[in-house]
Formats: sequence, C-alpha cells, structure tokens
Amino acid sequence: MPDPPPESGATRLRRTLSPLHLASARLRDGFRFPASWAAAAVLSALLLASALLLPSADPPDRIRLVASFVTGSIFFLACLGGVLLPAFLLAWKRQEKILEDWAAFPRGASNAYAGSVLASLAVLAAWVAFLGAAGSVVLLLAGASRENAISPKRKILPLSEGKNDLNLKPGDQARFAFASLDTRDAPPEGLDGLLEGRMYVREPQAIHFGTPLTLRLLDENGNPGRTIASTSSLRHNALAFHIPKEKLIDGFALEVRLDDSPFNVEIPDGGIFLLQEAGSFWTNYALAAALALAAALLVASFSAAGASFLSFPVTVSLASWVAVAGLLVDPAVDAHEAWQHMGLFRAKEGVPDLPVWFGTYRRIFELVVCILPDLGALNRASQVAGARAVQASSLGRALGQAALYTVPALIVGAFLYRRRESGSKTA
Amino acid sequence: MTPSEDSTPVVRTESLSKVYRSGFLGRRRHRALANLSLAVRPGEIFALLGPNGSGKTTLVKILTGLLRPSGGKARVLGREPGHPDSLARLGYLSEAPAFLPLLTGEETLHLAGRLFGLDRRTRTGRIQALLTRVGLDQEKKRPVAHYSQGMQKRLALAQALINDPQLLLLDEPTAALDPLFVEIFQNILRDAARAGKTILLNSHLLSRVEEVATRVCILHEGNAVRQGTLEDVAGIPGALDLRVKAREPGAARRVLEQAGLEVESCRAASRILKDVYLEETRRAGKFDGAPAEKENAPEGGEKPHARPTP
Repeated sequence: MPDPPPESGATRLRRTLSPLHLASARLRDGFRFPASWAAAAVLSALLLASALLLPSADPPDRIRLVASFVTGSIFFLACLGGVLLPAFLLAWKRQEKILEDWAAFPRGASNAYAGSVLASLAVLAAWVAFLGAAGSVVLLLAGASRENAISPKRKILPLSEGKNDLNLKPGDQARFAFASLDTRDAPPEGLDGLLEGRMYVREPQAIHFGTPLTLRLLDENGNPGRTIASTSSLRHNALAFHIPKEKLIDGFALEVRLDDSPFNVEIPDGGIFLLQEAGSFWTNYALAAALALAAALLVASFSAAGASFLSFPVTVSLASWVAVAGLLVDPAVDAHEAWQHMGLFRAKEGVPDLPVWFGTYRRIFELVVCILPDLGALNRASQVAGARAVQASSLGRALGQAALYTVPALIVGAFLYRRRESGSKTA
Repeated sequence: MTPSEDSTPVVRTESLSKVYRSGFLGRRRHRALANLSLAVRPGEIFALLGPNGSGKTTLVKILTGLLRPSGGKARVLGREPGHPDSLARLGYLSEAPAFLPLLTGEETLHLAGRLFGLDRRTRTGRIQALLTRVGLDQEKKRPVAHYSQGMQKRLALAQALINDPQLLLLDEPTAALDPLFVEIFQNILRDAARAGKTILLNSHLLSRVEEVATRVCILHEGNAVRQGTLEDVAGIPGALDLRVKAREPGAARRVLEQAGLEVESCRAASRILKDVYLEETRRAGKFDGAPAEKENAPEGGEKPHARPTP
C-alpha cells in the first residue's frame, strides 16, 4: 500500500482541537435536553420557595440563616454535580454506543474521553454559576441588600496574653489581654470579635448546645464591665461579640467565664480574635461559591477517572464515597485528636495493651487522610453565615489542590479509557 | 479503477483470531474468529457473508481498532488497525450507529468533519453534497432524535463518507433501509468503487451483496469457508441464464433444444418485487437520489432483475 500524501499541518492542528469540538457538541446537545431546563426550573423554584419559609427573625440573623442554607446547598449540589456529570457523560453514554462510534475517528477514544471530561467540567461551572445566581436571588429576598448584608470580618489581632489551649471547667474564669491594640486605629463602628472554642464532655456522654459561657469586657482597672456576649449567641462553636469604639482602651482585656455547666470548653491556641470588616458580603459569597466549584472539580476528577473503566452505578458509588469521605476527613482528624487528648490511644497503667490491629488501623487512617482531599475545608457556608472573610488566597490554594488531584486522575482515566474503548478487549 | 491482483492489499489479515471471554474470571470462552486470512485490494467491493455470530462484526471492529485480536496480524491501509493515520483515511459505518440525539443532522456531520480536521469550506461543500445524496437535505435542520432508524443509517453513511475515505468499512449497512435507499446506497458504493475506493462490507442479506460485491468471503463460526469473486463462489460452470422474448415458453424451449442446448428450466419471467416497488415510489414522487442523476437510470453494467415464476 503506497504511503498517502502527508497531511497538512493545518489539518493536524484542527484535529488536535477535537476534544473541544466534542465538548462543544456535547454541551449543545445537553443544553437542548428539556429535562436539564426542567431540573433547573424545579431547583430554582425550591430555592425561591425556601426564601418564603424563612423565620421572621431580625435581618442579620435572618440573612445568616439563609446564607448558611444557600451556601451549604451550593456546596452540596456542586459536589453532587461533580459525582454525576462525568459519570453520566462517560459511563452512561458508553452504554448508548455514541462513544464507541467516536472511537473510530483518528485518536477517537482519547478525544472522546477528553471531550467528555471538558464538557462535564464546563457544565459543572455553569451549574455552580446557576446555583450562585439562584442563591443570590434567595438572599436578596431574605433582605441581604447592601445595607443589611452581614459584612465579613477578618482576624486582625490574636490574643497576646493569656493561656493558650485553655480548658475551661465549670466555675473557671480566664482573662485575655489585647495589649497591642492601638485604639486610634480602631474603626469608628468599634470592633467585632470572635471566640472560637470546642465543647466536650466526659460525663454524661452527650453533646448539648448552648453552654453557659459569658464574655465580659473589663474596665481600665481590670474590673468586670458589662457583659458583651453570652451563651445565647453561641453557634457553630463560635461566640461572636461586638465592642463599641468608646469602650475600647489600650491594653484592654476580656474575661471569659464558665459558670455552671457540665461541659468543659477548650479554647485552642489563639482562640480569641478581634476582627475588622473585610470586603463585602457578596464577594465573600462569590468566593464561597468558587470554592464549592473547586470541591466539585475534585470530586469530578475521581468520577471521571472511575467512569473511564467502570459502569455508571459503580462510578457514582465510588465518587460518592470519595466525596463523603473527603467531607469527613476534618471531623475524623478532630475526633482522633480528641480521643488522643482523652488518652484513648495510649496504653495506660492497669489498662490492657491496645490490640495489635490498632497500629495497622492508625497507619491506614493516616494514609487515607493523606490521600483524600479535605472537602470540608472547601465548604465555607459557616464562614459566610458567620461573617468571617473567605480569603481570596484560599481559592488559589483550592484550585491548586484540585489540579493536584485532577491532572493525575485524568491522565490515568484517559489511559484506562483508551485501553478499554479502543483495541483493548483482549482475549 | 479495476481491482488489480498485483496491487498491495488495502486490508490484509493473516491467521487473525479473536476469543471473547466472559463469566467469572473470563473462564467462559467464545471463539469469534479463527485463523482468518484475507486480502482486500484497492477498488474492490468486498463482502463478508455469514449468519449472525459468524464473526463479521468482530472482524470489522478489529480493522477499525475497536477490538484487539487475540492472535494473528492485520494491516489496514498499510498500518496497524486503529492507527490514527489509517483511521484518518477510513470511513466506518457501525451496525447500530449512535449520535448525539439533539444535534441536527447537519451539525452531526459538521462534528464528524471537524474530528477529521476538515476546514470549514471543504466541510460545508461535502456535507451539502452528501445530505443531498442520501436524501436528508430536507431534514438536515431536524434533531437526529426525530430521525427514523433508516434515516439515521443514511446519516451514518454520509458521516462515513465525510472524509472522502480510501477505505469504507460498513457493518450491516443496508439494515433498516427501505428498498429505494438500498438502491441509492448501492449506487453510492459503485460510484465509490469506480473512484478507486475500497469497500469492505458485511451483511447477511445475500441478495443485496450479490448486486454490488466484486468479491465475497463466507464466514462460518469465525472461519472463512469460501472466498473469491462472485463467479468463483456462486457461478455454475457451463450454465447460462438467458432471457428471451417468446409468446410461449414451450416454443422457446423447442428452439433451444433444436440448437443442441440442454434447457434445465423454462418459465415465464416476471419483474422482481423490488423493481416494482422502486418504480412505484419514484412515480409517487418520493426522493429518488437526485442530484446524482446517473443513479436513477439503470447503469450499463447493472443486470436486470428477473425472478422465475413458479
């Protein structure tokens, strides 16, 4: 067979764009699918209906509640999209034989895989943008206009004195001084503060919310002044407070008191901060949505790699497992730390040695924690609702982390897909 | 172009075999091809015949690179099957073509053209010509999901031709096509072969194959049981089919016997049902394959169809 005339460079170049052409065709096909618009309409209606069912609280609390719900929903639905979209466009469509026909084009299998992944990522981005827009409408209906919106704050001053890693027991008091504060720099509206802590209890073995924690501002002489925050506003293990500017003095102090409670309150290192307004609520909200997209990309990379050789239900199960495990990484690590703190991992006198398998378990646990992406860290619902600034740099880190997982997952996926779809069914 | 015995084969297989594994740990084995050797030369219309499960589709999929053989060798357009250079010069029509359902027929062909790296002008020209040729010009703006099975098959044929391929691999191409389009399809194949393209098609519809194929290979359980030209495979040495005009079959028979010829059968001729169907549908104004006008007229080399009446 004589060799054919060589192809022109332009033809080869055009052919290298095949994944983009396939992705674009898949997007066109998908956006014409009536069910996709119906699903979007139903979801929008549900989100808007949720705004009508809001409790009649004061605007800031109301907005916090809605922001938590909306941002959390965006994160959850973005991850769901990350699980389902690549699985649908690869594993499901494989059953319809479309991908097989594409595999008969030059470099067809690789292009079909890359095109499908690109299409699912584009749909994922559109999906998160849609959710963000729908969520904005809900927030506006909840009263999150420019004036009412809860402005995010960033930490400007950690405690400079006091005890680190403080464990407050019932009846305890602790004082924190903020010596480095120059009151002339304080914003006219005063300072907002945040006490972060963690409640735990040994007996009875149950968690109750609302510990009787009191936070008081001390006067110049160190005498307790007025109470500026109490247990009623304790949410998300954080106690938010506001100090008017006229009450601020150089080297002022705060007193934390635990009056009568079955709990211990552990305040981690640097657990009290003073905050300053940082950016707008909407920027915070947009950053949280972008972080949800990064989380969805992470999940999608596992789904795409799985769909390259697994069936649709198995792929969805695998990606869901990764998503759930990724969400549980942080709580699991916290739980291990707490157990370690409680001496659970140490063989003690009079207590039988830890079982042999326990060491293996711990090593596996540490390995899994290393491998799994920490998806929980990308869910910033509580930060948006708690008016804490989402740092723009965290988005860069999240996208970097997403790339770290996505690129190898897609390379492996493309290899497996090509093996499976093109010339691979060996006897 | 006439197929030449000397020319290098476009498709060559040597002792090709394929075994499918299934069941737990692949313990169950099914042999789809067994030591199949064949060669398809440039300009041939090569037909693979055989019952369902005889290995026809497996062979076509191996040649497109969609399956890997268990043993033996195959070369397609001088390359390994599935090599991008050979796929770029190959048109493939699968047994059950699948498309993105909500793209229109025209968009589907544009996508195929882009995947072959065709520029816009070439693509547009070819698409228009192919859509007209396969009778989908009026339907080109409709989503493929609204196409009938036969229309999808015609679209798939247009897709297989979009890159002006040197080799066409057609898997059951006439399934789901009505007789009119089978006729048009056959004309497209003949034109392609005349233009020097090589066609390898498989079918279990023997009459369809007989009308276009220049060489055939009969497969049975993965083995080539017979291979050669139509005359080699189906010809009866020393026998002729004659068609004569006579008022009485008996009179014609007597004349032939007086001339010293042995007449095996002599019956009144009738047209086959397909010809009547084609005539009626063309008369009713159904698409007739325009603008390729030469398709409408009987071709010089085409044999008239005759079916003996019982």
